[in-house]
Amino acid sequence: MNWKVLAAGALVIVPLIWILASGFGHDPHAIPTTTIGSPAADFALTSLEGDPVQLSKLRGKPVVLNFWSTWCGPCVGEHPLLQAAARQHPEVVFLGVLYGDEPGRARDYLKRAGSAYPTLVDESQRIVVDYGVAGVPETFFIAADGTIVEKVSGGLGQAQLLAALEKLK
Amino acid sequence: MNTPLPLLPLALALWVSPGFATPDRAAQQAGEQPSAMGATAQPAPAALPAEGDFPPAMMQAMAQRDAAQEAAAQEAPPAEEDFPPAMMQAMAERDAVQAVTATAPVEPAPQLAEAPAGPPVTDRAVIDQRAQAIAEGLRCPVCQGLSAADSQAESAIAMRTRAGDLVATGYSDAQINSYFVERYGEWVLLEPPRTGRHWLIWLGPLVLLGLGALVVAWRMTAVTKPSDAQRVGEQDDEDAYERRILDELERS
Repeated sequence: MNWKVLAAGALVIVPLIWILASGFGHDPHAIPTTTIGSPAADFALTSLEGDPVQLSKLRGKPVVLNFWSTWCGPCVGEHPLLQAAARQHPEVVFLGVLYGDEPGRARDYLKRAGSAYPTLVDESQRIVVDYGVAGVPETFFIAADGTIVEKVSGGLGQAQLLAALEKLK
Repeated sequence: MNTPLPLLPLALALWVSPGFATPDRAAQQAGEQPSAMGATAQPAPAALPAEGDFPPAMMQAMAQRDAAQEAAAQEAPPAEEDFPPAMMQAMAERDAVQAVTATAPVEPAPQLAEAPAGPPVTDRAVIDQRAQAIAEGLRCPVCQGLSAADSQAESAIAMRTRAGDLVATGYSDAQINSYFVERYGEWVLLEPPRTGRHWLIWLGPLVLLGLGALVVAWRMTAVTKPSDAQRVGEQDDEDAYERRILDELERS
């Protein structure tokens, strides 16, 4: 076969194969994480009990910020793990943020399942966009200096949680 | 009814004695009038019977109770282990929540790190129109090929609301788009920006189309203009054909 035809074919086919291979290599539904390493957006919200909480007032302490809802299966699944971690790490401030859910339903759930830390309510859902949250659960690990050092999308596993807590030290 | 007559004087004596106090009698002794319902205020301390009025057995029981209470009070306060685990857990949870929420009065959090490019916008129609236009260029994070303007997902609604909030504060469309890109990456833009390597996406198809047109034109030229070798070959074929016809004619 003519070498010119082969070269022309390779010129078209090789880049196509490269594009397809790189495309198949990652989940098309995965949303890129861009907030790691950037300062955590400040917020001033009230808890389910009506107490005010402001992130900037907690500067100097590492913070774990967990977006969750009662209708989300993985959120309910990781709840006991987060509760246990909050009790074992009193030096870390754990905060929940209710996402697309009724405060009353969340109160009922926490009454049954236990609550070792406050859950915050944001009617405007502004904090959801400020943190680039696409769905729940999503958990942000904020170092004492206010920088986001880790973000976990989806239900937390024990090893994953411990590794992320290590990054806060 | 059948009370034996010898016990009547004893019962009368007990009833008359100050130690046998009914509420009404105690109130009368304290100088109050009994109510119609028989319920009065608590008797004044002065109306309490003296210790000597109690029977000895009762006095002894009271002394034993007081001694037991004093002994219990002198013991060490209950340790944490003495409380039920559920109560301990509830107390710890309450303390943890109070430690976080017991902060100074809340100050409003700033909007963005940079200042708004323009003055605040108060016209609701303008805010909604600009927020809608911005949302049309943003990808809904949890949808398949839908813009944030077309989706009713929680995150899409939150994005529209936030865009309107930022428009009202005075941020420009470019600033608001940058805000979303900083949080979700360039992935969030339905239309890639015309900058840097993104030009490859915009110009790549045009370049490929041009290359394809060149190839087609070259091939068409090659077909319509036969090469010298092809022309020589064709001439040789014609000569052989003529020779064959002439040979056939000569034979016939």
